[in-house]
Amino acid sequence: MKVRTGYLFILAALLSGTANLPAQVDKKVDIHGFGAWAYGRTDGNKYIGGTNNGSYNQSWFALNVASTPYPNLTVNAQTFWVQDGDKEEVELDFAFAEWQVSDLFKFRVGRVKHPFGIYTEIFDVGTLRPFFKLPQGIYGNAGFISESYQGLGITGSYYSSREWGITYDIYGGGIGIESENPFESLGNGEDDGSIEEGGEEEETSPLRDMIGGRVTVTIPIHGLNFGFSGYAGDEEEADHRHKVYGFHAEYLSGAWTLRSEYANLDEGHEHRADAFYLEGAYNLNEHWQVAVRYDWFDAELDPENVNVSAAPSLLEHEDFALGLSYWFNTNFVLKLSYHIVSGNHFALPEDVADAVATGDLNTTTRGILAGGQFSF
Amino acid sequence: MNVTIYIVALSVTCFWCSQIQAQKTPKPAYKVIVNALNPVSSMKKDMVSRLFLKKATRWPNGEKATCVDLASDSPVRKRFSKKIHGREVSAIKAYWQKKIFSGRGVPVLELGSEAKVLQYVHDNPQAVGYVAASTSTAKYKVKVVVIEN
Repeated sequence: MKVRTGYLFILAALLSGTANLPAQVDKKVDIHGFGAWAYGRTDGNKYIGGTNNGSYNQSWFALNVASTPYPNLTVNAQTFWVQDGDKEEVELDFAFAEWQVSDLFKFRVGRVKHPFGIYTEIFDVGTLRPFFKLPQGIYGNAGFISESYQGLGITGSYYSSREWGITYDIYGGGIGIESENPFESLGNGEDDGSIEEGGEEEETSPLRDMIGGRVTVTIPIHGLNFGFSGYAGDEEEADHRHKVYGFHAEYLSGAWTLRSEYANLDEGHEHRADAFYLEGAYNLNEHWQVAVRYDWFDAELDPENVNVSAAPSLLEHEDFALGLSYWFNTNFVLKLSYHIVSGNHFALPEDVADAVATGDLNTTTRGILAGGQFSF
Repeated sequence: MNVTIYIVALSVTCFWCSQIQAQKTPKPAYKVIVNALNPVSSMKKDMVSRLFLKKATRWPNGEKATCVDLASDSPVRKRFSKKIHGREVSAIKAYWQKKIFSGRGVPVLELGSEAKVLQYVHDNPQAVGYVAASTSTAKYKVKVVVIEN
């Protein structure tokens, strides 16, 4: 509660001091933000904010401030408010300082956006993607990514005269990985192996002594880039390293947008997972956009700790989604998407334990998500 | 998921992208200007794009470059964006959104008229901007830069 009040106080101070300022003030301070609201409804299981009865309770807003107090020094911060179902949170997305030595070397320190794949740094910015929600396989609390790390980083870019370019990030410190393990709500992994009541269990696993990096290559084919990301760290109170790597490719040109990522998670014999998605969008005209996405996830847990056979679908996920968007401009969009989901890693009933115990776990979920997203 | 399958799929996608790319750009209706004290007299189109996207931030002599854009609804900016960046203004705005919200930079300064752009470049030795090809620059200490492909 104190933390939340603190963030609100900072925001109030920011707004009170800058309420009459334009977005760009004498080139020293930039204020931006983004937000979203959506209605979600499914035919049973809860999925990406949608419920069987329909839910209006999914909205968020973020305020972003960047300042350049000195020519080579930039300070960035972003505060985030979210309501997802009955849960409300206020958190600090990032707050860091960056010192630019050259285009090739920039040093960063603080709480920094996690440079992994395509979407991690712009996780909640809806005006930068065709679907309201990101593909859950990689971005849905499966243990692949965190929104930010705390520590030191180096970033930079180099472009050749022949239109080849490379952008890199190297970073280290601590990171909190959010993950949901549906089996924990069954009591699996507990000493008695009993089934307990409850929904999905979300937890943050802090990693220590984490190092990571990302390389993105831009090639002369206009709009196409691809890259590699990876990081590893020691999980507290565990005897293994949490290791993740992934590939990504993105093509943005004219009316077409194509993105794809693959990621692999390795926690030794205890937990392994793979995820992949392919997402395409086409702008029919200035306003209308159609999109399609295939999202896949598969996990393995140590059978000595978890009775996987109780509900193998809790380790699986497949989402085939169709989307239709109306873009008023690049800062405001209305989106509608239809999802057909197989598996229960991310699509879960209200009471997982009861559904598994009674054999009523529905492994297929259909749902719609409709809402608006904006930025400034 | 087999990594090999992913890499093969990626290669096919890249090949397809290279095949469908067909850029149609209108004839340039703008001219790029720098301060009269700037030793640069010609620039590669690619370099201009990098400066305006802050992928490069310095002139060849090491001085920090300062870019100035016209407003996003300006027809001259639309031509400049299409010809120099090879992308619509909306795509460039999306590029800046990504930079802003990932904490990697803010857009270059936008000014609402060509007169303001000319004055800004006049006042700042490291500035670079653009105006309509037909706009007179005689009253200002600026010079037109030759853009090479």
